[in-house]
Amino acid sequence: MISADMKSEEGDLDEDTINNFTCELGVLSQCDGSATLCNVEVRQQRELVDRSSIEVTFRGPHGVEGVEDRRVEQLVRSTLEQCVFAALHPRTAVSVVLNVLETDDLLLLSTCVNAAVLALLDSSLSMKYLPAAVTCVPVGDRVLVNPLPSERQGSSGGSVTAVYDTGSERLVACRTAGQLSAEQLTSCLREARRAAALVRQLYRRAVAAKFSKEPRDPWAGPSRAEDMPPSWRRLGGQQTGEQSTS
Amino acid sequence: MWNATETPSDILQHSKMASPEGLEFVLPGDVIEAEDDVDLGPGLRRDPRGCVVLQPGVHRFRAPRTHWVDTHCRRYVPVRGQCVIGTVTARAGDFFRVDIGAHEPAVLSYLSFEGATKKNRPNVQVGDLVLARLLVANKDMEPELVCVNSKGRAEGLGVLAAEGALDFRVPLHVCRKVLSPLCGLLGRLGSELRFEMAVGMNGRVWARSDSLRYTAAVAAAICACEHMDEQQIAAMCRDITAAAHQNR
Repeated sequence: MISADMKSEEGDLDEDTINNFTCELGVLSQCDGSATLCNVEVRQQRELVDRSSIEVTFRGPHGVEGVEDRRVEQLVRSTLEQCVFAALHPRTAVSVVLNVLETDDLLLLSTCVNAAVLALLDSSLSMKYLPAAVTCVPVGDRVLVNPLPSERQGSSGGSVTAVYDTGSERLVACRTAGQLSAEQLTSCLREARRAAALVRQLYRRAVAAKFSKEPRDPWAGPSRAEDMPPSWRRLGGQQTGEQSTS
Repeated sequence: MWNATETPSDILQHSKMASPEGLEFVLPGDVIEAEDDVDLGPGLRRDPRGCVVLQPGVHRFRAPRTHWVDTHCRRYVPVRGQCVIGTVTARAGDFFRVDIGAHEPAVLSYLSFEGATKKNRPNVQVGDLVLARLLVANKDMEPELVCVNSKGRAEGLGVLAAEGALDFRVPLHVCRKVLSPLCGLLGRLGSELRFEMAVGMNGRVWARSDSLRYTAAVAAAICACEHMDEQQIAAMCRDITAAAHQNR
């Protein structure tokens, strides 16, 4: 069972984060971050013979579950089904449970997707790519990315929640609300694509902290770029070539 | 809010510099260019894009051509040839069902014990702990275990005694860390305490010592070393062995 707790809270603006949510991995000792590939038997009608089935359970802040909760589950599930390498684990289930601690109607959907991805990263389930969700609101001529309630005062009510593949920058999922013109939609998607890279940086920081005590050479082998053989190179991110070996 | 003048490639460059000290930390979707004849271990897969990372972790390399990703994971995926510790959950005819924490209970034939024949059945009860090796392990079939090697010798495999022993679960990377030749934990504990232990690659550990006090000390040391580097492990071993030897 993967549990992801999310908070959207107001705080000091940090230029390195695109929204002010805090993420904690491993909050629950029993199950947080551990992908239960259904030690409990998968129900027969849901068992898929060639892949893992992904189940998302969303518990909204209000007591009674409604159609909106199912819509959140459907978006998160369809996003995860694309990015999780389900073919590696046939006849199993990945169960993601999302609990809302504090709510913001506008940012809820993108926070749900990002929290689910963080929980999957904590569990080290195989994934083909990392999706990142961002909410964009057009205000006048500008586009605000993941705006706090105080910042989106002058908006006309339209918003775009977009999920991008942070590796190839392809659009994975998109949900709009309110009225938007075609130009506003296009500019929102463009800003969301740029902001998705920052969300990936957030993922990286959150997960890399777990490996801070990892030994340099546990099996007496090189693990740094400069020790790698000349034939090893890395694609992308090597713009200045400072990490490449000659 | 974010700096709108940064391009995504700038951001990627910054994020790569935020790795743990001196380690190549990779995320799923990262592409590593490698030659065609490299060996890819866990966490890597060959794709039309190249050598793609599937799991977050530290990218490791061992000469001449082996790449893999060290992950921090709790869920075990069976791999053929690994030794695991399981709990016997049922007897079903000629074999036992053993829970090893995988996607399915594993199967252990009663003939897969040293000296077992059809008339000489091994003394294995439901609820026993067994240390066994995986003979069959893939995603499409239920795992199969054996408690003998290819010559019919047990060599430490088989039922693990329950009396005076503790069996507990740790994350998978702690098992690998404890068994690593460069980790000094077992050596330091062994120079002060007398104990026996079995480490299953499925995250289960069994330990037994002269008394429950020493057994608990060994178990506490193994559980605590998850977030420690070598200096901290040395200090922790000194504290734990001193506390264990202390008279009440």
